[in-house]
Amino acid sequence: MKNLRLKSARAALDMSQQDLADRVGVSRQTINAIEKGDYNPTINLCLAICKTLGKTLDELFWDE
Amino acid sequence: MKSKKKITIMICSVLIVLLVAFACMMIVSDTPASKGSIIVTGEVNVEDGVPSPASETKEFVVEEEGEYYWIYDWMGEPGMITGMSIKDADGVSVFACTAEGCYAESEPMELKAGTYEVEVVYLTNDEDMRAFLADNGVTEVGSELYNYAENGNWSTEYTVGLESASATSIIFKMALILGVVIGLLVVVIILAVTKTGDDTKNQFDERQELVRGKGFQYGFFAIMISNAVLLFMKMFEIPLFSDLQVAMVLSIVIGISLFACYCIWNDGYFALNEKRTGLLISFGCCGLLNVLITIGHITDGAIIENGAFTFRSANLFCALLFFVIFIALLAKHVKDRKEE
Repeated sequence: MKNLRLKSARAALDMSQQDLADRVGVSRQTINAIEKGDYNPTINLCLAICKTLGKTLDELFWDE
Repeated sequence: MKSKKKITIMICSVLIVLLVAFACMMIVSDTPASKGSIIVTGEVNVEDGVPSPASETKEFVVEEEGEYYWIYDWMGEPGMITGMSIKDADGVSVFACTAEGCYAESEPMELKAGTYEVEVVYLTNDEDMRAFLADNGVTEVGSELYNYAENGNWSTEYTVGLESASATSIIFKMALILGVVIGLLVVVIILAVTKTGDDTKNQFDERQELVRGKGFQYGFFAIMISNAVLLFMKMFEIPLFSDLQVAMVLSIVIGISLFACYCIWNDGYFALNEKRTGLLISFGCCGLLNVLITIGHITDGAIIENGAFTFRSANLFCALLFFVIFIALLAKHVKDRKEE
């Protein structure tokens, strides 16, 4: 399932996939795979993304 | 630098040095250490287990004294067991062997200049074979049983060659040392080109680690399956398209290709922030080197012998590996450009 909340949170901060990838220490393709729903990140990576985007885990990753 | 990375670089360095050293040895293996060869041919007719003629003889002249080894090569027709002996001027056997068809090399031996007699004896029963070996001073007799010829006609062709042991060993040692030196230089150049001093370079993220793990799994199974196929082909004596060493190299090439292609396609091949240019240049150089060596072997006509790939075709398969990786990188690049 696509993670549109992550995509919109990133876009809201005017960050590219590469910017976010550099900040959290992964490849651009990994961010792309998370947004497309092709890859489920570990809790460590989820936390790193949340901290970078200033969001909580629930806001970005909780499946409602 | 992480210890895991150091170990990987050390293993890769040793492999590169060994590969280059081996390539140098292969290149010089055609260096003329040969001191001549003769071909013994014949037509033999066997009736009720009696061969006619019973043997063929030919003279071999050793021009100067020295350390040599004999090479005896024959791909006999099935059913005809032959014994080959080489005797000096005093009638003393210096080398003898029996088989249906084989490639045999003697131990290095000191030979005096003079004429040696090469005799090929057609053996049609176990008693004759043991008598032949006893006459030639061979005390260790194998326990295998041959299917001796009883009736029929055979055309035979046996090649007996003489090679200088000292010349060959010196050339091989020189080639080995040269290969090690060149290999070390290649490692130093690759390290100098790829080193950035940045410890965060050459690290993979968690998704890439998973992709690489899956890639290793596919590569491992590919090698295992191809080895099993080779084992069965050998067990059931199904003719191989090449000698066993080449088939093993091909199985490794298949495994590495599968791993590389899977990782490239799933973005797990290049590490974070890794500059691809250096790696592509080193791949290109390795591929080109293998292509050049292959062209040399094709020119010599040494790639295919008796309808099968020889060990010299290993370079061809290595060139193929680099070509496959290059194509995968190109296809991935096109795919990424389209997605962007």
